Amino acid sequence: MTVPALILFLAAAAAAQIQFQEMTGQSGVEFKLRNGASGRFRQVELMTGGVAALDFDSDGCLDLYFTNGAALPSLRKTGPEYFNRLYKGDCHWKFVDVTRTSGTGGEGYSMGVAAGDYDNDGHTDLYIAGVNRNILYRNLGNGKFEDVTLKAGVSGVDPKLGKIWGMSPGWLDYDNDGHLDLFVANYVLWDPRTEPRCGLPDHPLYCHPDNYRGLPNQLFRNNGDGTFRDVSAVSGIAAHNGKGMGAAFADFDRDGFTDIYVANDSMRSFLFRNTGKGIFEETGIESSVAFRDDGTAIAGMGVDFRDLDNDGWPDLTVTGMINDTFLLYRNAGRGRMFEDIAARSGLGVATRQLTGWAAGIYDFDNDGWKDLFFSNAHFPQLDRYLGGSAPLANTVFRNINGRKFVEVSAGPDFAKPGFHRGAAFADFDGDGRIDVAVTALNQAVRLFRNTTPNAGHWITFRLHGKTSNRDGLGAEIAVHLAGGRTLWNHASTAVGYASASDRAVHFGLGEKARVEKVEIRWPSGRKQELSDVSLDRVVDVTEPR
Amino acid sequence: MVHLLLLFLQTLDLTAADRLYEAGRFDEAIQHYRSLLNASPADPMLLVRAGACEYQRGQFAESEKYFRKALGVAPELPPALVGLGTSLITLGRASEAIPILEKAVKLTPGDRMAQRALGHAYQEEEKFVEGERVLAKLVEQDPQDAEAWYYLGLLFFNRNYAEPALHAFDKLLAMQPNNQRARIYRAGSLTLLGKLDKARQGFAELEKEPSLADDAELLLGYTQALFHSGDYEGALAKASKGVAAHPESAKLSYWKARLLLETGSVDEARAEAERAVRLAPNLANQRHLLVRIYQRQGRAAQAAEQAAWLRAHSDKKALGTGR
Repeated sequence: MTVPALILFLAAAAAAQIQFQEMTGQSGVEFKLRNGASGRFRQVELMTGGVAALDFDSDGCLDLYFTNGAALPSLRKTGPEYFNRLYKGDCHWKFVDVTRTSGTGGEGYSMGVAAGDYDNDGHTDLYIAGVNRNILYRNLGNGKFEDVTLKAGVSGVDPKLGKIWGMSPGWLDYDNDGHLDLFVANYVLWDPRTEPRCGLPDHPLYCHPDNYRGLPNQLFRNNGDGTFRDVSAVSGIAAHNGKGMGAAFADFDRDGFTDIYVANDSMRSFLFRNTGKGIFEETGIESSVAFRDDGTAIAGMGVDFRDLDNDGWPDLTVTGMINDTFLLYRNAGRGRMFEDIAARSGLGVATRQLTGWAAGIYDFDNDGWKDLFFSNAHFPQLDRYLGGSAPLANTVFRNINGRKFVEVSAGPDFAKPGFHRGAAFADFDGDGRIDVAVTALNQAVRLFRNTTPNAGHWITFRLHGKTSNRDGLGAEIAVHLAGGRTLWNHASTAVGYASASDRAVHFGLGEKARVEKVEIRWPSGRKQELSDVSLDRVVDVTEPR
Repeated sequence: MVHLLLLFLQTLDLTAADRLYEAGRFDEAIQHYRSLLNASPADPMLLVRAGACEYQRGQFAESEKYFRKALGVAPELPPALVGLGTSLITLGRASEAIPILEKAVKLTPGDRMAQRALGHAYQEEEKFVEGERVLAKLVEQDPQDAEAWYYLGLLFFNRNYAEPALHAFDKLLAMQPNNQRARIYRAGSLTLLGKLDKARQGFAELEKEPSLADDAELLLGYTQALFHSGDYEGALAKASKGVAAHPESAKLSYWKARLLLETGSVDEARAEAERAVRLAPNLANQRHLLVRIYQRQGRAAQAAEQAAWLRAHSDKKALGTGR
């Protein structure tokens, strides 16, 4: 072992061991994701499985929303087994199904979900993207939601193509006008009546994405009056056809405007740079985030877009299929390119035999370095080629120094394999450690409580925008620690794969931390400083007028 | 093809030409076959023999002509179909070979040689499902069919299914421990599986064999195993050796350029990447590398040119092959 390798090993060994305990059995969450598969190998069957962590009733406890499939080929929710589900949480790992009373069972074959307060009324709303139906549920604030999709103008119907397959929606305020806008990553042109058959008659396979035409993504500008305008074309977003799976938002060039990354399936991925003038420039190739570092397009799936090396510049991680290796792009900052450091960081070899769906960049052991979470599962019909079975355990990689990542064994519960899909990250029990909810295809959902012993100090910010959007999405936060170290994060719920995580912004601070100052750059451009901030608590921050 | 002709030699009258063929004296045998064909230019079996002999001589275009002539006389003559299919695969036209070999298999379902050739053609054309079906059946029926194991291993390897590829190459190597190609791909499979110590060890042993010291596939595989192990200097040495021995190889040139960049030799990396693009203008890898290099060197216009090519190339993927 070389000296640097030994140092890394010792650093990893000395740290808190990230641990997760499964809480599903005692949680009351009985949701089982159904894809309606009947042996015809339809493309949609592989893809569903979004989950959102949100506080829909503003009681301070996080709730869960799950998307669900439908019968095939009708694409209709023919029974309660296909309903999307909303569960109300009690902060103590107990959840109650409130789907019926809230009116959020959904319609059609649902894929992804986004949670955000688009009308700034203090109640978190839901947007569901699906194959044949997209839905905007406005939260009425009384435990009920209203389907306002048509009224709001966000049905997802393309002017030329009709209703197209929506995959991963997300809320962002791209023009910083204080109203959340809606981005929808769309997958491929698909119709159950014309689904191609792949493989052989007695050996059918799911078709490769190359068999389908890609789609433009969509951007809807919030008019501030409960309606939206489809600006996909005028913004430049629709000029690029892709096969969008995951979408994540960050101001990667720190110009004050939120940018958009879309992980595409088996073609180059997109980085839409927000010019701040209502126009996005697709700069994936120029920024070196369109391909793997060898120029190969991977089967991009989930993505998260956050600063991993504490230099203030958001980095990217993207999941892919077996032999793709997951990607890890380091943002070199100041207008320079990204650099795929997956191979050098240890992530490349470690993920080569994995197929990943959701990705999350969170500090699970609160040591001041954000770690990596991936939900995993191979495609079911490929298991005989993989040297193992198709269900896989999820994986966590501990961040050693922003450049090296080491896979950790996160406990026996975590090691159980499944057909995992979407993931939502949140501190469900308020103990300062980030927990995870993961969906699994035709299996029960999995709720992982973070039980990492000896985790470091932490602080979480819940933002309340005034001039900015009420959720504070897009806000950038810098936590300055005694000793000169600065940690960075930003508010975004579009995380993982077809999923939405809690809007609160979490920081792990390490073992012996003292916060000297917190700086917040709100989407409005306002800057706010906090001092005398106590550790190990959730801090509610209201934007100054 | 040796087996093919031997099969016929068992059932047909042996001629002097046949005896020469059997003895491996193909240059002499073809003279005899040509003389015989002067007398009987439409004898389909004689045409098949001449085709097989040309194949053995490495004259694949000639063998194709003879097999086509045989089929002109007897359109459903299985050995002519198999011979033509095999010639076409060798000529790099496996897609043309597939319908011909499918016809041969249909006419003689029990002909393992025809099935093996068809499996090979599917493997070359990356028709994974079809190839697996044919080749897996062959090894299931006869686990000693080394050639079928080889094509099956390649089929899996090219699809990046490293576990079954390793299994196939292990089966083959149990029968033919010195099969160099299988050993190279076995080591490559270990690289895919992340078993890098074993992969490097395998490549190092192979490199010691004089006949493989400059082998392009070996050096490419070795380069990749060293790269994934983090040994960029070692990988660069292998890539450079490969480029020196095979200056026409765009893949080796790309890897050399990539490793030059990785080790800080940006100007040299640019020159090598530009050379790789000249060698294979339609490969995206070296264009992507050039974007990074040009950007690093502040050559914005050149970077934009390569990016535009990549964008146009990639946008074809968005169209899909379906409706």
